Amino acid sequence: MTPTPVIVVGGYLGAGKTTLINGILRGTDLRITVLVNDFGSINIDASLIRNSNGDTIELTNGCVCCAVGDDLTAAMLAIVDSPVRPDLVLIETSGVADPGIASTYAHIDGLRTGGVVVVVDALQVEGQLQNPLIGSTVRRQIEAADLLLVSKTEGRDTDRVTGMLRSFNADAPVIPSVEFDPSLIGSANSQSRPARTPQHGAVHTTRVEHPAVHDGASALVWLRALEPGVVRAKGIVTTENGNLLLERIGTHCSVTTTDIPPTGGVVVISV
Amino acid sequence: MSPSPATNDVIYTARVIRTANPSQPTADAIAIRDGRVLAVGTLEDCRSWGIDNVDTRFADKVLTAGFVEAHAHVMAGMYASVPYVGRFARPMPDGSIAEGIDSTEALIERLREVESSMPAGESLICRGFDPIYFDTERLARHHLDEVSATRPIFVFHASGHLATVNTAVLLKYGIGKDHPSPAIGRYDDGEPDGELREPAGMMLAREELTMFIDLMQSDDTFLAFAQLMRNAGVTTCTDLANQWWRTPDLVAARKAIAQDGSFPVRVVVASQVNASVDAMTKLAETVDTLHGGAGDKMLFPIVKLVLDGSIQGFTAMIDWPGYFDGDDHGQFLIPPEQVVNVLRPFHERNIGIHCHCNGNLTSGVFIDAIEQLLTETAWLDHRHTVTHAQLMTQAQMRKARNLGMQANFFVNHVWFWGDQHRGVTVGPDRADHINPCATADRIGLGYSVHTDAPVTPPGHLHTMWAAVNRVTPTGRVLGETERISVDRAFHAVTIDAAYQLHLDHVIGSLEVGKWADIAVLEEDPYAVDPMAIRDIGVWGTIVGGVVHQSSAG
Repeated sequence: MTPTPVIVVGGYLGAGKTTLINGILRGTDLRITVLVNDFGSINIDASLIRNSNGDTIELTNGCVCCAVGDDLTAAMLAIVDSPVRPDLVLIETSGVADPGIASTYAHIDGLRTGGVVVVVDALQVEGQLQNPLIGSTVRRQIEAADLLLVSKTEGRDTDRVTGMLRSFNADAPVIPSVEFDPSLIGSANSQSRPARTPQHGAVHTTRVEHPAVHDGASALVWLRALEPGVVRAKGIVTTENGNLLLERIGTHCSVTTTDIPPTGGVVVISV
Repeated sequence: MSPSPATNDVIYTARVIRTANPSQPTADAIAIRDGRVLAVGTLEDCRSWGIDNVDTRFADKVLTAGFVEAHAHVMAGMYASVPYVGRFARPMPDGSIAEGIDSTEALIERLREVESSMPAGESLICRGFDPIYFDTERLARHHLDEVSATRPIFVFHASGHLATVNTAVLLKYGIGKDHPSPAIGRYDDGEPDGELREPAGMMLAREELTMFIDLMQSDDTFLAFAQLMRNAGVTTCTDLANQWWRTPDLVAARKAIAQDGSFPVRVVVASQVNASVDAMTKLAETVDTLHGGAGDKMLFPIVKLVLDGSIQGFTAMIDWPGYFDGDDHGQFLIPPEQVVNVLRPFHERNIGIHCHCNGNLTSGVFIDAIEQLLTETAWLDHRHTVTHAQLMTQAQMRKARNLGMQANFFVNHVWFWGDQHRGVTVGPDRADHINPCATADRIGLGYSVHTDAPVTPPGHLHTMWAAVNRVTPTGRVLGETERISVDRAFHAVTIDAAYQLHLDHVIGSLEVGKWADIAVLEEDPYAVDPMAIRDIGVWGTIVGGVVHQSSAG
């Protein structure tokens, strides 16, 4: 069975993690399991809720949200043990957690890492970085990111914020969250709906029909060699190793074997 | 005319009785009725209640107010079933002493002993290994393979942050060179070396980790915990931070065990507070209900929040100039601005709050949160407690005093890590003032001291000894100006600990009407050489009038 990807959504308290996760859940055609510390912050649209039972909320679209408190280990083991594994696991980390550490929990049989997305508040981040109580925490979050989303950019000098983020993390693409379509994360087949990606700003979508890929190793090399501003890339190609799913979120690249038929190239969305 | 005695009335005499009541610090005899103190004073005073039943078995012993531990954990009892491999010799629940492990060779030797008597097929799990104390090659699987090439071996380190396993474990789970996890230690050639870091690494040895967690939560561990406390003269012990409240059946079952007369210790259950405001509102309601229905041997007056890591793990949040030698991995466990929100449901219901603060940035955040809560909701008698409080500044102590707060110092650190604090973690100046008991007295901040068992061995003769002498294993006196008197230390581990648990009306001193909880000692801590306090033998305890003899013959 193909291992289930685990995507970590990190960022300090109030940065906009929940907004992103709600966006992913609204636009998804996957069965997603979301692990959160606390339901207090998640505020799921009531019309989406099928059933709520203590630590678990079932949604009408087949997704599930679980409050895991402090015990991420038990939650991850429960997922790999369950007879029906989700298509995608999202971990919303606490506001002070290092999302890079949360991502290491995905290295067990049945799961794989899917990347670390960190949301940063454009209004607060400079002050947070200078705050002796939380400065090092916020810095570690930025450093751990494969993709940086900047929220609350209205009226802000985004170049300044981007420059500052780059000084801590030179590789991860930086994109204003208003320009990021959450279905890029939660959709099975992102190229089926490229129109959902807002096309203003610098975000653009290309499709590589015949990537120069003949096996798993060359697929990984090819994915990594894409331009540095890749926000998301996804596609299934046929190779000597069978059908391979190529995925990239920011700087995080993964290649996994799959029994799903090829999709006709790889869609690449970049800034 | 004398009052008529009840049939179970008894008077105990002793060489001396130390009451922890400053109004009557010593006595010759104590009369007990229905598990409570009926009279304390001369034998004549006690007999004047009409009691003839004088029990002289403790006539040559020293009786003191039972020791009260305001910060320990039930998992201290795990060494009943998990071999101990820590640096310092440690008492076991059966009264034996497990010798300390001070080298990799000693570890291998101990594990060989354990392994040779184990049934085939069972994994060997041990706990407490602490290489911070010896310069040596990092423990790796090739060392453990000398114990067994076939039996899975899982060595849980004292820090709780990592485990080292042998090759058999790696083979069992198929963990090889190509395993992608960064939570695995590796040799230079990229092959896993057996080190599994943090939960993300340790969960790869899934069965062994699960076995360990199950053992920690077993009834055997709970019973062994009580035996350890009895053997140390502790009559009330706090299990600070547990998650039993999640399973009401377990709470009921444990309460039935604790309420049985043969169970030798009162347990204060302090549920763990976490970052979820919603869940904490529910938890506060649960604790409130449990508190209302508490038995006299299982009580629920407080909760606990953990806010940072440890100093020796470099995960405590400490202010400028930071750590002395080593990378700062300090981190709050919940966002500082969230602290007031998760604590509010407890404060509003008059449930005491003990907050784990090892670093001084952390104690500052907690004190500020309490100030905010007091501004919102008056509770004049809250006694909220900064626990560990190791690096609290004098300004923080003055503010905590003004707010009616308490401290609970982890004074055993002076002995167990004092040399490391001076040379490695915080440097000489701050190490000399770590766990500043005497400064708290000068400022007027009330405090207790604790063991945090199993982090250090249970028992307050050691904490008293550490607070009074402040010596380290290399013979240094760490901060002479922070030493306190024997009398002050005795109060810190009895009545002052009871006070910060909101239980000083029933425990903590031997006064008429309070529960008859007594430590039975072989010597008087006030009379021996202060350096010998920790060596005083404990005969056992009396809890609610019931005599419990130590298993440490």
